[in-house]
Amino acid sequence: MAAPAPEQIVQEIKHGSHWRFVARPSRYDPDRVASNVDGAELVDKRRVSLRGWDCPCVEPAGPEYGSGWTGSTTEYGLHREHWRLYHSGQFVHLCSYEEDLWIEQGLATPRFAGAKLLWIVSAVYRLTEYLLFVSGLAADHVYDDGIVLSLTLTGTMDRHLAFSEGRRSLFQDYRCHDEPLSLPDRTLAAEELIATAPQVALGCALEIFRRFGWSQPPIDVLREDQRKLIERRL
Amino acid sequence: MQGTHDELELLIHSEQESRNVEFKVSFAWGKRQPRADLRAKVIRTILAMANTPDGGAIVIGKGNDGSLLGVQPPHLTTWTQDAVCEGANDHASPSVSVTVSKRTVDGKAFVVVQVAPFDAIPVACCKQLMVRDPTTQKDVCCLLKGGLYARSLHKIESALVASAEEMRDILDRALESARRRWVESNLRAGLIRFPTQEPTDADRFAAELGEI
Repeated sequence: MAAPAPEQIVQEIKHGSHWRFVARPSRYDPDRVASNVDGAELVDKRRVSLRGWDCPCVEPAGPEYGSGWTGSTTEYGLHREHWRLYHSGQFVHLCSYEEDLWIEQGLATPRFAGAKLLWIVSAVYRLTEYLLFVSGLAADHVYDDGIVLSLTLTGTMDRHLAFSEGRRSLFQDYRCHDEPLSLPDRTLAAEELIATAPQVALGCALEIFRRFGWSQPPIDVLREDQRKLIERRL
Repeated sequence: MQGTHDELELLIHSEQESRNVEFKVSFAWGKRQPRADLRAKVIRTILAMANTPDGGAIVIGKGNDGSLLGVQPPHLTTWTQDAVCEGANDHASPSVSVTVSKRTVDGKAFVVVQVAPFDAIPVACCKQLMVRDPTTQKDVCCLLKGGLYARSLHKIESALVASAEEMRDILDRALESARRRWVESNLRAGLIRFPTQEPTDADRFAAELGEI
């Protein structure tokens, strides 16, 4: 069976439950990144690889080049993502929930079969990767005017928080009642982003968990999870 | 407001009543005509539609079930623009804007009374209207002086505004209309100017993302 076309994968992501992360400069300049090749080189230089794969992921065949953007579309295993870096410096990343793919592919234990989940530690990892990647772009002066971060999760209604790690569990059911779940846009100076990317990522994760009704997540434990990720000790 | 031919035919062929469409069987328009009760109900509906978003239309010559009965020839001549305007505005403050049109469909005549939504101020009843109920032969109040009528959100009827939700809706539209008139008059007088519609940076970034 032929692999689905990138456009089809993008439609599948968009029409299903997904994460949507957008980082853009505070000021619009259509020529911040000179060309698609420059965009590809920037991504190659600043991509984050902490879990055994890259964020953002570039297909082995090379990046896609669109009108004013460089991007890539990937689907394998529990991974379905599409991203673009525009010449304006705007970066958008869409990805399906690996939790949903895990359940769809029949990999879930009976306890989780049919559930809608958000894996807690995985969310911290994902946000950390996003923030580290864009802080890398900031270090390359893409966001010298400041950066605006925007995060939306769709398919959140009745989604439950869960640990994918078997040895951990929650003491009660934390469920989201928002659809979609959008965090307020956050504007940061480039220096602030570079200096505090992990803290910003953890702050976003904690805000998401609170929106699921988990008002007092164990911050130190999650910070330690994040530290292990950053130090590649997973 | 003058309905196009197609628009009127669509109204005549409407299958059921709605918040903006009402049916009435044939009767002669006039205070002293036998069906003064129907005339009073049409006036109440005109006042109510004037307070309803998009106004409405009353199709004369249709049964409640939407059947195309037509208006009887002797009744037809009583339905004139002047007579209906005068009858309605005798009870409306400020005046309502109505347009009376006549059409023949499948050999039957129909009258369509189209009511424009209020322009600036909601329409209130300024004069009570009592009618003799043909069934009980008792006088009943059809329009209450000072009453504000609207087409109900929850039921297809013209009734006094009874819920806070409906009252808020009418007041919101009156305020919006007042704001619009204020802006228009100040624009004409050159006292204000619209900012140029240059897209903001946020607009440019959003446009760039397109469908993504």
